[in-house]
Amino acid sequence: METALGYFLMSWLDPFLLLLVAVGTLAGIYIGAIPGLSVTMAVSILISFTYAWDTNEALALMVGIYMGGVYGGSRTAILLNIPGAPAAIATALDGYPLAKLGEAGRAIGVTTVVSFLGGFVGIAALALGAPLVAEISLMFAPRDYMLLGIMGLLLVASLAGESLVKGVVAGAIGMLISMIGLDTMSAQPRLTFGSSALLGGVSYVAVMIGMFGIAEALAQLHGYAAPAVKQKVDKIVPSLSTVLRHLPLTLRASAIGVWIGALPGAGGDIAALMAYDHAKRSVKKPSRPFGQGAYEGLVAPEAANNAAVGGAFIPMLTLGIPGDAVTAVIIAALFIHGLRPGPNLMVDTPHLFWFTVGNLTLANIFLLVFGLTGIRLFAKIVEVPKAILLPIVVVLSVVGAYAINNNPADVWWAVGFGIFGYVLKVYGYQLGPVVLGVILGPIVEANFRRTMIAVRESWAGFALELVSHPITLVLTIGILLSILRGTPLWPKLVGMLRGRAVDASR
Amino acid sequence: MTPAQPRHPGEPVLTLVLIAGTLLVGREALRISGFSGPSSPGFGPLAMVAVLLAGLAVELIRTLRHRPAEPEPVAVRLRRLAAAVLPPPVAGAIPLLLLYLVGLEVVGFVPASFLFLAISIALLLRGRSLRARLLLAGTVAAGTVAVVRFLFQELFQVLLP
Repeated sequence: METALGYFLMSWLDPFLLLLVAVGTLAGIYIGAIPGLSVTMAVSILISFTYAWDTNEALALMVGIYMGGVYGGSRTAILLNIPGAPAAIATALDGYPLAKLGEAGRAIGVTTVVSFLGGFVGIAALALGAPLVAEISLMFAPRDYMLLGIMGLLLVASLAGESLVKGVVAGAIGMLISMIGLDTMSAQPRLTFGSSALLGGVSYVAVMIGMFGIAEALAQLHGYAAPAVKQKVDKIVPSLSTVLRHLPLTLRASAIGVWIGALPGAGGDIAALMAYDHAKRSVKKPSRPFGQGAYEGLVAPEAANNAAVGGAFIPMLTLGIPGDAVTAVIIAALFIHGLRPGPNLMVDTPHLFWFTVGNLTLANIFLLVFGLTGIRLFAKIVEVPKAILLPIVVVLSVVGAYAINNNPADVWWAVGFGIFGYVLKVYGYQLGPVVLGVILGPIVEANFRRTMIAVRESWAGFALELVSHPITLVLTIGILLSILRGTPLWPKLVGMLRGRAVDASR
Repeated sequence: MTPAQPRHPGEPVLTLVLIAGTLLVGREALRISGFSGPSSPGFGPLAMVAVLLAGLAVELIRTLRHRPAEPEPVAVRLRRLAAAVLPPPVAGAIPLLLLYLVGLEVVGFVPASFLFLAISIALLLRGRSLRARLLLAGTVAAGTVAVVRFLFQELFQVLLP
């Protein structure tokens, strides 16, 4: 216990680590707030710069950026009706009407406090739940990891983007990219087209920088010339009675955030939309009608998306499965620093878990401090035109891609994937599943092959394996439901079940 | 529930290009170990190629079903395609980006980045005179290159291209 506390307080007591968490959170708030600069983009570009760093320093900065970035997106959602991050899409629905009513300052204050509270609920869930999940996950067989990986891909594919089919296509593209190079089990070259340059595979960081940095910058060039709107923001600290009035909803939305965040592949954006939907259904007397400036419509998504941060770390640290796109990038960073997230992480490197919990807690406190101050500076930064911002993003992406191996080829890969990702994005293919496919591909494939070897390559034996254990059965059912959800059968099935429920209640 | 999806301009062509690319990858995947067994190194790539082909076939059928009732003239279709995929800023940015990469190898990071930033910013900025745009673009480019060089090379100890 004492050791855990020591690891938890590491960043609190080390001035340099403390500074890194603070700088990360501050940078995250501003990066998250600037439309076009996403947290995923920031973390993707950043990890390549932290290779030479000590692992703890790199993690301290990244955790800060993640926590701050998820919150920062709400600022522009409220002020400009442009969510700075996908997790703030739901926030704009009632946030912008509040700004039009002249209550932008109060709205920002409320979102800051509920984000802080939601963040704490997520961190508590991580601290209490992760050791339990890690213990259960020690019982996981290779088939369970394979199923978890597939479930993550299907979830992100079905919940984001235009259709499940496009999500699956994007995920399969990512998995194919992950298979380029020497096979890890047989050392046989795969998909190299005879080129020795491809034997080492494609750097997943180059793919990430391309997809989240360059592709995003190119996509942002559509309508880049829209003028930045100037807003006047006054006093923002909310009263205690306001906070207390919204506390029950904050806690309920935070619980949703933790749950959705902990699902492999689903992150703050989905959590926020689900919490908004929950608020609409459960709050009978909102401060104003939803969509017209209801504070409840701000509270629910903002508490949920920050709670999802702690939730997303649970599968990442305990199973090695990313909870969302940002944790996928953080997993890549851990690999680069020689760490292997998964059930043995808490046994092999217990300090890392409590160190991360400590960093998240610290980042959450900084979020409250920076969130309630520095509004004037914030207003200036948000007004920077995209004409200046986007070329800088490209230069940072290029520097980041080169820093992976000091190899110009990685820069060309990043730009190539950036242009390819841009085209996919324009045609409604989400890039999140591509990157998750790159990260999850090796996990899914290696565990599939292990399972197949265990059942002596018998498909009947494989099918039996999928229902052979309660954990496996739950995962198999989860996957089947995810697939069913994307088919035309799903609405019919839901309608049928609802009809029966109504009949039964009569 | 899957909402009704729009048909993007040129989507069937993109889907066909993706199918052709997938078939090419499929041919390469087949060379790894053929169909020798589910735990063989070639099985994963082949399985993914199959998933891709199935998904893309579904998309192709969907886009072909959503054809406009009255076929538009080719010129209108091309204009819509250009507006959706390659609006002028993107059409200009992609060659500039590729030139930047060539410049990095030929003249090095500082001059190549300065020129890329200055040209892109000057072209993207609006509502100012040419002189004002060039002045602002040059200042921002010089400042950014200086900060990036100091921050990453000196502070983060990252080698620059």
